[in-house]
Amino acid sequence: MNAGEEQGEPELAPDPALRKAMDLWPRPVAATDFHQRLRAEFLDAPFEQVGAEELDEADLGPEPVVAPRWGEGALLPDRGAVLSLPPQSRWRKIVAIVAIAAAALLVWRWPTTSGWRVAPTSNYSLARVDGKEFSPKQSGQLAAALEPGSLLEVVGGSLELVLDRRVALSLGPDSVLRLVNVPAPQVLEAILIDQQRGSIAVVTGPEFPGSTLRIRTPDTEVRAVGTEFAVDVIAAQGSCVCCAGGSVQVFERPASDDPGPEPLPFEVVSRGETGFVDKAHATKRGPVIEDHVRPIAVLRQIWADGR
Amino acid sequence: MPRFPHRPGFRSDPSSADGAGVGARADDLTADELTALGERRPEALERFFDVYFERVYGYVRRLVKDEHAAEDLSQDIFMHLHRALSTYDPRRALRPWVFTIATNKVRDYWSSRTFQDRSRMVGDEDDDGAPIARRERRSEERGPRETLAGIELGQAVADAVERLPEALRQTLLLRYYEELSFEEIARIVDRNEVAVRKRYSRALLELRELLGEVHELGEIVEGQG
Repeated sequence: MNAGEEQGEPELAPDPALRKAMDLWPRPVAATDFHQRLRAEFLDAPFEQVGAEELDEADLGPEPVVAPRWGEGALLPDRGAVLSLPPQSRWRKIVAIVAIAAAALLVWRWPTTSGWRVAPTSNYSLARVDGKEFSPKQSGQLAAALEPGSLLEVVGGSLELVLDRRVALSLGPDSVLRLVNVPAPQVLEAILIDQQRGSIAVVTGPEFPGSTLRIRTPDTEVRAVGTEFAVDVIAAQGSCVCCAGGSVQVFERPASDDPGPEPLPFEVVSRGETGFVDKAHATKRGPVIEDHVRPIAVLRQIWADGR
Repeated sequence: MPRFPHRPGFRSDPSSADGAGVGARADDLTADELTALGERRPEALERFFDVYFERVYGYVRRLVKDEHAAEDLSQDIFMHLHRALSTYDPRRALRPWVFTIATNKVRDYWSSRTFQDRSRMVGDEDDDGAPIARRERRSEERGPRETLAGIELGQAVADAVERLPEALRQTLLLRYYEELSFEEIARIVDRNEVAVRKRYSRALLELRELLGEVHELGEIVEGQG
């Protein structure tokens, strides 16, 4: 029994054999090219002035802030200086913070001129629109930046996008797509998305105007007839189309980006079915793949509670 | 470009009678360097990166065994640190600040859908970091003694640490391998110091149990030496 145990304290030292064993686990070393690349990126990164609210998530202050009680500021001149403003100033500050929060909420929920908004269910770590990076804190700006022709990349996590009350999309990690055509709500043109990589799940909304949503992958084009489906581009193999509601038409990928109707042969993938289109444009069928349609539950909820 | 002189290594916690650390800590930044860092002077940034890169990457990689995920997280952490330097107060201890950010980023990753999906989808051959279900499956399939007999002891320690619950694993790594004080760890994981000490003690006990009987371990260690 060691001294710590005699004093009723937990044992805090590994015994010699365990310590030797633990010391045999070397510190993992990063690949040299990654180390050099990150070093260059870190040293060359532009300095951004960020607000404190953006940094809260990381709990940047390991030192706890001392908050003196009312009137105690003078008794704690060193520790309480930050919060020792007179009461009136503090109220003003609180009102200002509430106003800023309300404005931020309004911006978050307010439909952007592009018609797109980012649903709060999103947990992406970074997204790019035409190469410009947006953090989750900049979701409003991200949505505003989306316009016909935009190239959208999701780096990590998922990004749920809602277009007016027409359609909700969930883009999986490492997805890359181009919004080829996004017509105004009253224009009877197809919404056309060129999905270059990754996964996308779709649930159409209450104002979805019929079969005017098309998703093109490197292998196929999917037209929504029903309401709920997911498309996964599986690199070098093909595209997987899972239908969870209604049905979708699966076409050969047209040669041009023209969103107009084209007389191409198609197959119908119905609810509960998966169509896999390989590089030779052969379609195999099977049951839905649960992982592919999982984001659909999130999208259903978006329409259900109007988020 | 002028560089700050390197200082010889030292331990931040002189009361560290618990044997924490394996000489992993090199050196910290001087007060002048910290001030320069707060001002984001290039030579201070360079020094900061060189001092902390291996520590942070090593910490993350020990928690998240997948190399690509560890690289992504390290990149995220350092770019976050870069931005956050505008709010850094040089009077604050640097190491807890850095490891707080690193720990929170790893936590975010563990709770992300990316990680959850990967954990559900990958098979046993994948070596991503640590959902409990997988830990249990691994421990059923490969007992600690088999591990010790079959592969190098250092790897056996890595495997055993991976099987520890998340909270114990973080505490063990921060205390033993990163040599943070219990007080610093308590701030990082948002628990009181007594709880952190208990966690560390439990982590050591569970680790020893996972690695087999002490005398058996001792024989193997002697064999390694």
